[in-house]
Amino acid sequence: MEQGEVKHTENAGIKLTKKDLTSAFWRSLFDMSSINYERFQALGFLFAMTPIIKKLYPNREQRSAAMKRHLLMFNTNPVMINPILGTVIAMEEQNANGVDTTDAINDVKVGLMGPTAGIGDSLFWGTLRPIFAGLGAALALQGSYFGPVLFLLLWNVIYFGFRYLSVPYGYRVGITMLREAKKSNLVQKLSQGASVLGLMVLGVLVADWISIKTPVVFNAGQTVIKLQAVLDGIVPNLMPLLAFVALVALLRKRINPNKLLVGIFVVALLLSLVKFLAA
Amino acid sequence: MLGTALIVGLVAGLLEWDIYGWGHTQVNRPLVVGLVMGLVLKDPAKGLFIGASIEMIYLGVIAVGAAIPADATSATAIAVALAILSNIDPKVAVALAIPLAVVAQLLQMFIWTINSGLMHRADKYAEEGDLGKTDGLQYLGSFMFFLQGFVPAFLAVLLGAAAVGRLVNGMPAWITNWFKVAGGMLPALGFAMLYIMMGNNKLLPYFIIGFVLAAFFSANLVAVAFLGVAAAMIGVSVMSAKKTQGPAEKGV
Repeated sequence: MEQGEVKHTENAGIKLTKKDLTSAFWRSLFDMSSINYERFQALGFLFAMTPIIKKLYPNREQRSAAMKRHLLMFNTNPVMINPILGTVIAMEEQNANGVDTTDAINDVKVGLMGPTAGIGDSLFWGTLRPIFAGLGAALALQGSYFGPVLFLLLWNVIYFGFRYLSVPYGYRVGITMLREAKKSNLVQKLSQGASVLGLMVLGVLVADWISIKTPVVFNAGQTVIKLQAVLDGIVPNLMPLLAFVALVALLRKRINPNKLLVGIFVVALLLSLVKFLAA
Repeated sequence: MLGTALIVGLVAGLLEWDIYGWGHTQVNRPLVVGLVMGLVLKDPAKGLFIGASIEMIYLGVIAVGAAIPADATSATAIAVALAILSNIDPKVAVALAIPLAVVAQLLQMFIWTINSGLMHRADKYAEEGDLGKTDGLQYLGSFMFFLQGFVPAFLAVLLGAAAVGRLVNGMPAWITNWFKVAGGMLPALGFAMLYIMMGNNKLLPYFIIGFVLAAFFSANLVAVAFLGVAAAMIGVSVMSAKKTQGPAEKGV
């Protein structure tokens, strides 16, 4: 069937309102509720589309077709569901108003899954959350109850702000912008900037929150030399830094993190038994 | 103990629900779970410490694509509950959370598998055009994840609190030392994973700046974060300046 061909006009003139988009936004937050290995977030996406489908398609056959469309496999980073949702809502609205977009809808969903997942995973999951959580955890380890609160505040303002605004954004701007999103300068700038901030914070975390200490002492005649003090004289927190660098090198060699986890327990056992390390 | 077990299970289940029921507010992160569980069991300081320590380990562990990462939510809930109820050394409790997180991850994979069944029921409703009915399937799938948080935490406290307390408190010193040393090292792995994710060699200088500020000058993390924002702004404007100069430049 040719795209854009005017096919059915019986329910032309159904306009979606801001309220409909908001209702889809609230429902989109249940994105992972029915996640499964067969079709991932498909049912979750349909759940978000339900009020839209209900309004756009009064008759049972059309509803059935729309439900089937949105029960096809779908999976992306949860944050990025919303701009896609906005785009798809716009397409369903066109479809209901006589411009046939049925085939294109799934193409768009599948086409946007990959690039958006990459952005969401690296920007939100991989950079913003660790920075906020690292800040909060560092404060908490100093005994401040404000740590967890700060983390929740920073995250939720940015995260919900993005998810709420990106539904109408996707609805207005649609496919072209999202398809270009990965190439576009804005996203690149954002992730570059976030990485700069993240790496500086990470430098502090490595210095402050890895604890590897040696109780080894040497007796040189009358004086007692503490190995830890000698190391701190060279570079403070030298052993944490070395452990970190070694683990980065091993991860770069594509060694499975679970093996490294077991490795850490083995090294800790050996070095604590020979009394080279102590808590 | 039944009442306490019910409360701990309920809190664990509700927090576990964050990803699968109420929208990724991050109350399922160890940092938050630790404090909440500590408040519920009336030892917030201990909960805060254990939660924040576990958070450091799992900072770099994220879900990428269709992979399920180790689930530290119910693991933190159980570690904090056992540490408070059985009076276990908080540092040992942190190390205990690691295997628990692996078990929780396996449970999650199990639910991802059985939830596939929902799809076939949904297909049937779609065939009939019964729009409202698919909502119920969504809620059912969601509830499974509540159970995934509730059941292990409930059982751990009901059956385990006394026994684990005896076991851990009767451990020889070398084992507790081992766990404490391992617990101190573990964040290194979380940080290394984070570095792999965010870093490339071009950005290495920023890591060095952060490390030096903290290690040599004992700089406060919040202060460095502000410097980081400034550095990010400079970096971005340098990037745009280059963009406008050289039309031949391809992506950075």
